[in-house]
Amino acid sequence: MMLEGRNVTKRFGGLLALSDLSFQVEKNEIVGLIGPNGSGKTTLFNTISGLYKPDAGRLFLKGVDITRKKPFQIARMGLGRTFQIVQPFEEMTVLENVAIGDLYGSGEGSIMKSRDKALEILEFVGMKQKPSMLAADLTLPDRKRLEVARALATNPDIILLDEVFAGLNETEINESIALIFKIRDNKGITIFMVEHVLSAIMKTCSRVIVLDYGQKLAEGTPQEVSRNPRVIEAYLGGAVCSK
Amino acid sequence: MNKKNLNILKTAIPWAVILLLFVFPFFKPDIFFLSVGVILFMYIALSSSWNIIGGYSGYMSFGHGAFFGIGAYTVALLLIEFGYSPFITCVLGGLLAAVFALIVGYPVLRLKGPYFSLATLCLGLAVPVVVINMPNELTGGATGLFMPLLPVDIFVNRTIFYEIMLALAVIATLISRWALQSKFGLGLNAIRENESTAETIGVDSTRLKITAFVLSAFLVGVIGGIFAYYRTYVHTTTVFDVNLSIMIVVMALLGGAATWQGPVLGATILIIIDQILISAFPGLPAELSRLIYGLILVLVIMFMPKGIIHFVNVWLRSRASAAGAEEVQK
Repeated sequence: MMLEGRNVTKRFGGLLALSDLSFQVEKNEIVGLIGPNGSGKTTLFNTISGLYKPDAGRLFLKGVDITRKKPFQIARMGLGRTFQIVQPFEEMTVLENVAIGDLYGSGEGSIMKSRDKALEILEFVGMKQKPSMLAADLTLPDRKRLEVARALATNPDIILLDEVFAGLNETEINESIALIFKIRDNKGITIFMVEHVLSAIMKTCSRVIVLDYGQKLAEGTPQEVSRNPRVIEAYLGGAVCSK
Repeated sequence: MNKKNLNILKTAIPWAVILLLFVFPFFKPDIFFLSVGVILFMYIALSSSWNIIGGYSGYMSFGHGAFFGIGAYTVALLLIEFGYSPFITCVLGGLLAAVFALIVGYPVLRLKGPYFSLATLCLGLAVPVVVINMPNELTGGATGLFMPLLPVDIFVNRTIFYEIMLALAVIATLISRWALQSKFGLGLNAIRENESTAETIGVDSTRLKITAFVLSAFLVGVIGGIFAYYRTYVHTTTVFDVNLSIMIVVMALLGGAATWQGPVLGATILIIIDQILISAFPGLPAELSRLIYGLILVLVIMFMPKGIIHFVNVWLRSRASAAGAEEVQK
């Protein structure tokens, strides 16, 4: 078992953002997390990565309890993540952004080694031409790629991808799908991804978890989930029903 | 000129300047220049030390005067009570400032942005109140503490402090440069850019911030100790001066707070302006010169918010790319 949540609950004042949620991600899986806006997807990612502390329940990474661990500890234990709203270190170069991930996340090596490792990863994600550019000057697709590169630099066992396809055109989406498979197949990294672009979910995920109001509404293969009437009602909504 | 020669020149020039500054007193200059040197080097050292926490990690402390004063009082007390030389006890002053930074750092560094700045400003104002209300036998209370002079003539005295402050400025600048270019500095920069993102890639922000704060406080405490012996008199209004806390911030911002050269440049410019104002208009009230600092700060924030060094770098880069474009056109 790579990642497991047992009865996770997270409240913001009176709002129940995650309600008694249990889930599991196996090693080498690509699992999708979908749900309407405000259903708790990003909250779940923030809770897993330690930015939020759950009010109840437990979280396990490779069998180790991470419920009370700090974000930097969880990162060093092998969990990487990207952000829905990309957050590169804007005033630093692309290379530095990635090198920091290696220096602090994988906890080994010198600055020189980290630069080499960062260049390697930039090549892996298809950005090797731009190491000395400031992150602030990158286009959106490149910023998304940089987020992935920085997370990969921490040498994770599992990576949480928060809407890496949002705002990309079809070609860019296809490139990103190829990259996700490459991450899983070449690096053996398990993937847990939030996504709104359903066609991309259909192509990449072997299993999908559907959230609604912080609860698990359904779980199964993309085909099963998309046929589930409860999912159609809650998530796909009127648009599909009316067709 | 090729790139290698340029790089050698880039290292050689600063060291040549330092060497010239070092031998300067041996040419028997007017004592005025030595006094300016002491103050200039002190501010370079202070501002560079501040920059480690304030510039690199973005935690803008307005309370570094507290560390300065702690160093100053430690040195004064140890000299008066036990006769220990300030040139040795300044390290103890620095350590005491560092311990104080460690204790207050844990709660204060949890605050962000303006809240951190306000909390440190209050700290800088609160510490002197505590010191002045301590038993008179200990801190001299409202009278302050008088220290015995070094038993040498005034020129030698100035020369000694000139050289020590020069050494402190070089050391503080080297430490600040090392801090920026190391793993430590990259982590601090990541914290400045986005602290929670930095945490999610393994940066232990609490530990890094505390380390930077403590290191910064240590250096400022040492400098405060030397300054106390230079003045031979410590009083809460002189060594816990809020103006000092603000000046070192303004200097770093003027030069460029994200760089290690910024505080050196900023301190040099402001001290030179200050000296010109004083000598050109001898009767100039202190308030007016403060007004001029304020004006400089406003202009810098409006036109070069990232400091002179960043401004010049951007200008050079745009000129280089313009020249490159012309080459291509030919």
